[in-house]
Amino acid sequence: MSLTQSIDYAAISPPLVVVVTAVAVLLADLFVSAEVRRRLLAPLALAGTLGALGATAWLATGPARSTFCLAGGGCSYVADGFATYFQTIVLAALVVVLLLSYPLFDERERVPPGQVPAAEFLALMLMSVSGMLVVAAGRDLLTLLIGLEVVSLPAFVLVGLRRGDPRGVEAALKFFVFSVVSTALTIYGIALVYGTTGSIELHHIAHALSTRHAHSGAMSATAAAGVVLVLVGFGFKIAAVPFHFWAPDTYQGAPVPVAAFLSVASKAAGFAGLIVLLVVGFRPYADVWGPAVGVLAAVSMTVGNLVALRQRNVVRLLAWSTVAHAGYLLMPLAVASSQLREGVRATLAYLGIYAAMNLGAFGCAVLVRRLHPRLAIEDLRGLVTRAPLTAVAFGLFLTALAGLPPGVAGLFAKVVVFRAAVHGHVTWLAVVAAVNTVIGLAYYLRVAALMFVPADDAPVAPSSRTWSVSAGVAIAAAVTVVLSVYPQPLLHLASTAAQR
Amino acid sequence: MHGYFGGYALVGLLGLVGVGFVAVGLGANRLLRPWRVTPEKLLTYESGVDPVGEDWSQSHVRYYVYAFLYVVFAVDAVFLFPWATVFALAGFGAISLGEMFVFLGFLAVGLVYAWKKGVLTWV
Amino acid sequence: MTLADDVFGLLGVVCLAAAVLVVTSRHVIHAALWLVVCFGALAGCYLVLTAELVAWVQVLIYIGAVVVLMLFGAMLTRAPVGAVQELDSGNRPVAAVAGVATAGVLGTLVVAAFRGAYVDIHHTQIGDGKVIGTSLFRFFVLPFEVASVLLLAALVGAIVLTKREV
Repeated sequence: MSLTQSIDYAAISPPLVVVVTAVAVLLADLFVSAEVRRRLLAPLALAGTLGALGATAWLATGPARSTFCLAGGGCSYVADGFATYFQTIVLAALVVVLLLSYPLFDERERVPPGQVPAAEFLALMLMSVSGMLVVAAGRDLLTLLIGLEVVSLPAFVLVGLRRGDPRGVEAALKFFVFSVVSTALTIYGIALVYGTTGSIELHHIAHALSTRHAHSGAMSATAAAGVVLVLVGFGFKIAAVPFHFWAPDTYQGAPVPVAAFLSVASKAAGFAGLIVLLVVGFRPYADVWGPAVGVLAAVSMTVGNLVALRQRNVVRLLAWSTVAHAGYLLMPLAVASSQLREGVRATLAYLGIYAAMNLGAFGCAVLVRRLHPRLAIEDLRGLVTRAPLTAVAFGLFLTALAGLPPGVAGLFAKVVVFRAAVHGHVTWLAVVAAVNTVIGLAYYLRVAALMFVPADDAPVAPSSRTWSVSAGVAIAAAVTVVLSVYPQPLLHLASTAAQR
Repeated sequence: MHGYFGGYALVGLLGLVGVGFVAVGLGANRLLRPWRVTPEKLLTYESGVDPVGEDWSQSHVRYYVYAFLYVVFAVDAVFLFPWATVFALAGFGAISLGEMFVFLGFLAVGLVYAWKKGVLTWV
Repeated sequence: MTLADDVFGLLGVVCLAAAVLVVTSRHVIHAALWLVVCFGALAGCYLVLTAELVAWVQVLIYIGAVVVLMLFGAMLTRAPVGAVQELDSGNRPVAAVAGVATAGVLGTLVVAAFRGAYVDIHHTQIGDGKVIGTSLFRFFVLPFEVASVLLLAALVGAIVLTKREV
C-alpha cells in the first residue's frame, strides 16, 4: 500500500515542460560551442513554450484533472478550466515577450554593457513562468505561496540583469524590498488562517471558515485578519494601490520587454492566485473582503489615472496605466457574493483582452526606443512620418486601453466589467470606474494624437535586428483586432473558466 | 535525565555552565585588575606597529557566492534530513527516492552551472 | 505555570528584546549580531514547543546562512558605521506608530482568540525528522519540488548578478 501521493504527469505537463526547457537552455549554454549557441537558445526556449501551450490546449479540451491529492480529500494541483485559461494567457504572453526581447540579448562570450546574457535571461524567464503555471492550478496555500515566490524571484534578477545599468539595479532593489515585505505579511496571514481553520487546503479552509464566521468573536476576527493579510501579497503582485509603489520605478529601470512581462504575465499570475483564494478558499468571508477589494479597486483606478496624467516618459505612463487597469480588473471581484461567478467571468475576460493590448503597447515602446532612447512622450511627436506602422499600431493599442474605437476590444472589456459591477450591486464602483475611464481618455488620447501630428522627418527604415519585435507587435495587434471584431470565443472561454 | 525535555534540559544546562565559566573568569579578571587607560593602550593591535589607514577594506564580491552556495545547499540538506529517515520505510518505496532525486537533480544543474561559470575557483 | 512555560516566556522576552535592539541599533554589524540572538532564542522556543526539526533548521539556515549573508553583505559594500544622515528618511515616529499599532492589533486578536487553547507538550508527538519527513512525502510533494526550482533560480540569479564578466 503506497503512502505517497499519486502524480498525474499529464495534468502537470505544462509547468513540467517549461521547467525542463529552462534547464535545457541553461545546460545548452554551458556545454555547446558559441556558434551553435547563437542559433540554439532562443528557438529552444520558444519551442518549449509552444510545447507547453500545446499541452495546455490539450488539457483544456479534456476533463479537469487533479493530482497531488491529500488524504482527507482536496488536491494541491487541479488543471481545470480556470487553470488552463490562465496558463494559456501566460504562455501566449511569454511567446510575445520572447519575440520582443530577442534583440536584447547578446550571445557573445563577454556581454557588452547595455546587453543581457541570453541563456540566463531565457532560463530565468521560463522558471518564472513555470511558477505562474503552478499558481494558476494550485489549490492549497503552501503551493500558492511557493509558486508566487517562484514567479517573483527570477523577476527580481531579470529587472536588474542589463550589464552596467545602475537604474536597473535600483529598480530591482526596490522591487525586491517591496516583494519581501509583502510576502512576509502574506505568510503571517497564512499562519493566522491555518491557526483558525486547521488546514491549508482551500476547500477545507472554506468549510472551516464558514463555521468560524457563524460564531462571531475573537476567533472570527482573527480569521478575518488572516484573510486580509494574505491578500496583501497578492495585492503587491497585481500592483494595486497602496501596494503599487514599486511599479513605476521598476518598469522604468527594467529592460522594456521585462516590463511588459511584469505588467502582463506577472499580473495574470497574481490575479489567478487572488481569485482562487477569494472565491474558493475565503468565500465565507466575502462580506469582509468584498468591500476591501472594492475600495482597493476604486483607489487603484483613481490614483493610477490621476498620476498618469502627469507623466512625461512613455514606460512610466504605461506603468501607471497598468496600476489603473489593476483597479478595473479588481472591480468585478467586489460584487455581492451571489453574483461572484459573473464577476469572476468579467475579470477573466478583461484579463485576456488586457494582455493583448498591454503587450502590444509595450512592444511599440520597444520599437520606439530604437529611434528615441530616452522614450520621452514629447519625442513621439510626428512619429507617423518617421515610423508609420509603429505609430498606427501604438495608436490602436492606446485607444484599446482607453476603451475607444478603433480599439473596440478595450471597449468590450470595459462594458463587461461595468455590467458585472452593476449586476453585482456595486453601482458606486461602476460610477467611479466611468469617471476614471474619462480621465484615462485624457492621457491615452494625448499620446495617440501627438504621434499623428505632421512633422518634417523622413521615414526611418526598419532595422533588421528588430524583425522579431515587429512580429511580436503584429501578433498582439492581430489578437486585438480579432477580439475587437469577434470577442465571443474569449467571453465564452471566460464563462466556462469561471464555473468551477 | 531522559526523554525529549530531559535531553534538551541537559544541553541547556551544559550551555549555561559553559557561558558561566567564561563569564565568571572574565568578570573576576575585570574586577581584580587595575584600570589605567592611556591612548596608546587603546590603539588597535597590529603586531607592534602603529596602525595606518582605515579599519575597513572591501572584499571582492566573488566571495559572496560561497556564502550564497552555502545557503542553497543548506536548504538542500534540510530537506535531505527528514527524507533520509523515511524513504526506506514501508509504503514510501521508489517514488520518494525518485522525488528526492528530482530535487537533487535541479540543484545539481545549479552546481554544474556554478562550476562552468568559474565561480568555484578560489581566485 | 510549569517549568516549560517559564522557559518559553523567558526565551520569548529575550527574542523580543533582541529584535528591538536589531531595529534600533546604530551599527549594521551590531544589528546582525543581535539578530543572531533573536534567531537563537526563537530556536529555543521551537525546542520547548517540541518542534525539534524546525528548531535545528532555524539554527542551520537562519543563523548559519542568512545572518552570515548579511555580514558578508556588510563586508562587501561600504556599509556605514554609525548613523548616516542621507540614509535617514525622518519617518521614524510614523514608522514607530504604525509598527506599534499593527503589533497591538494583531497581538490582541491572537491572544483573545487562542487564550483558551492549551496543548500538553509532554504528551504530544515530538516533531523530529521522521514525522516531518512522513508528512512531507505524503502530503506536500508539489511544494517541495517547486521549491527546488526556486533554489535553482536563486542560484543562477546570484551568480549572474555577481559575475563581473559573464
